[in-house]
Amino acid sequence: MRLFRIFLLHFQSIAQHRTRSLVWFLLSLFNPFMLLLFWTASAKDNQLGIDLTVISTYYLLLVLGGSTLMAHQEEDVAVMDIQKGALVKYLLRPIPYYFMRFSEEMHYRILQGGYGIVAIIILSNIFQISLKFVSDPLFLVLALVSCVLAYLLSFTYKMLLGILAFWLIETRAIFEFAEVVTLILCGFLVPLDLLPSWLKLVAQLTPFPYMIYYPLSALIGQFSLYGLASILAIQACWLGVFFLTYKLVFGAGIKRFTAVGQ
Amino acid sequence: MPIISVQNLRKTFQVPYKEPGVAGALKSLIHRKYLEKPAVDGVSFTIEEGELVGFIGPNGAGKTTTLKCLSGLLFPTSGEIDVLGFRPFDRKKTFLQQISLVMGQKNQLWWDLPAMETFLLNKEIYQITEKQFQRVLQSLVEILQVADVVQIPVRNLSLGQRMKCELIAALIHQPKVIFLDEPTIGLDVVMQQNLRTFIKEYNHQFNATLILTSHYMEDVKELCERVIVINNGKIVFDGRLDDIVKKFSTDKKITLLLSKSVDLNILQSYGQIKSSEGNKVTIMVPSANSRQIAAELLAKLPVVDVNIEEPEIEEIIRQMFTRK
Repeated sequence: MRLFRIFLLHFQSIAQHRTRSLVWFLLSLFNPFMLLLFWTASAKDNQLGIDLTVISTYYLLLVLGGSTLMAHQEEDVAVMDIQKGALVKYLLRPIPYYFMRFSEEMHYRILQGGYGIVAIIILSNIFQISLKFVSDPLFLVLALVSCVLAYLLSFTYKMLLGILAFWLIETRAIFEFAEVVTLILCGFLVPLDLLPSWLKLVAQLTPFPYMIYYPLSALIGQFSLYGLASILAIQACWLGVFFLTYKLVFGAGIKRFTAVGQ
Repeated sequence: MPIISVQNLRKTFQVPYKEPGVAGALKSLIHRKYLEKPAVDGVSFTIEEGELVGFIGPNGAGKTTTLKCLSGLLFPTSGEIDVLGFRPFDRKKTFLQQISLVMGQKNQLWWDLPAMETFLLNKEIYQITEKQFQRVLQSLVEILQVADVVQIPVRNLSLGQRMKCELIAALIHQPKVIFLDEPTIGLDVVMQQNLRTFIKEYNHQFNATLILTSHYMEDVKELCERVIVINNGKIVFDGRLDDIVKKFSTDKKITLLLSKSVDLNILQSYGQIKSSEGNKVTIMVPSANSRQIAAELLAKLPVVDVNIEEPEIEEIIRQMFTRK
């Protein structure tokens, strides 16, 4: 209950920045929107053997998934908290930094998810796309669990990226590189099934498809029960690895923290 | 038993060093050099429960670094720190629930929301009961006279009002140990006085242990019986404020009111002239000879009035800091 009240209090703060959140959402809309146009045109001739409903549902869900499942706190962690010293206010409180950051970041996802749902309704009407979702309640619940794990995975990954600033002065280049890798391996540019087989194999060995591609595919109903269970298990494993790594890296990095400017 | 114990604390920062010019840039590209810069160098002291201690020193002396080590923000390079029976850097929940660090003009308040929302957040974070929250909040709001501003968004408050709300946010959980780093910086004289009154009252009311750093000697003079003077990372004095004068003052100040102007060269032969305005002249003379010099001046010069006093404490501390 106490943690829930902390979440609610943070939501008030995020709600104050609704315009900023909307602008970021509109920016994130641009990429999947362009890809939706491209793939809709390509799939019409059916030369690539792609199901138009599946591909258009995928890209529409990417609008929602990109804004709801992908955390974006790495720059705040690196620049504001570590380099400019705002981490001080978190360290002085008897609650873990990870949790406080989580309770701040998650509300942006909820707010942007709201924008995402509105965008999906508008776009599906404009493009006359009938969305195809998983209909079985069990599959739907498992797909939603996969989405929650995907967000936790993305959040912890971004925390890990952010805390590299304990060692690095310039982090922007690393974040840009990570963004490109994420775009390709998460399935933002092209669904994983359309990637060259070697690249698809590489992607499957990384945690990235488990942040976006597989949860969205699960929502469209692309997996058997066994396939879905495997995805959940792999997501949980990656989350464990990420969280342990975060604990170790944060523990080492905090000894280097200088609280400069504070 | 002391509530704070520091033994031989050292904190060294690593700072990158680059030789000038393009050659230096290229060298730095291949092999970057770092310098070890000691910020705190073998500091030891103890503080008893309920004490209000002033921590003074020039910029870069190591005051804030020491406070950051005491509050668990910085990992000490070496040495032992014990605060309330905890090693601060472990940042145990029970330790953090009993301390607070207030930094002048640094913000934990939500900028776009009324300060009350931050108080409520801290209530949840520090697991304060509703009854205790209301009691402490009411008491703090009353002492600081901010009842009419806690519901206004922080961005619309003046610096003084923000600082008061910042203090409430930092003290709402009734910490036993409070580190105040330049709490009056940037405030006008009225607000400075209000804040000093508040700190004194808080210390008495809650028997809290406070360590205060400040560049304003007025803060230290009014609040702290005991001061720790730090310079270049080392403690140069630890004791009662009055004792600084006895220990470090080698000169006395003689102020003469003359009936007519005299040649300043005569006065210079007795000591260093600090000021000369009309017929009023102030000279600094060695403490040991001050009586004898005063007698000679009375005999030789047309003196209407004479005053012998200890130099200002600010002056003594300034001398301590500039002494090599």
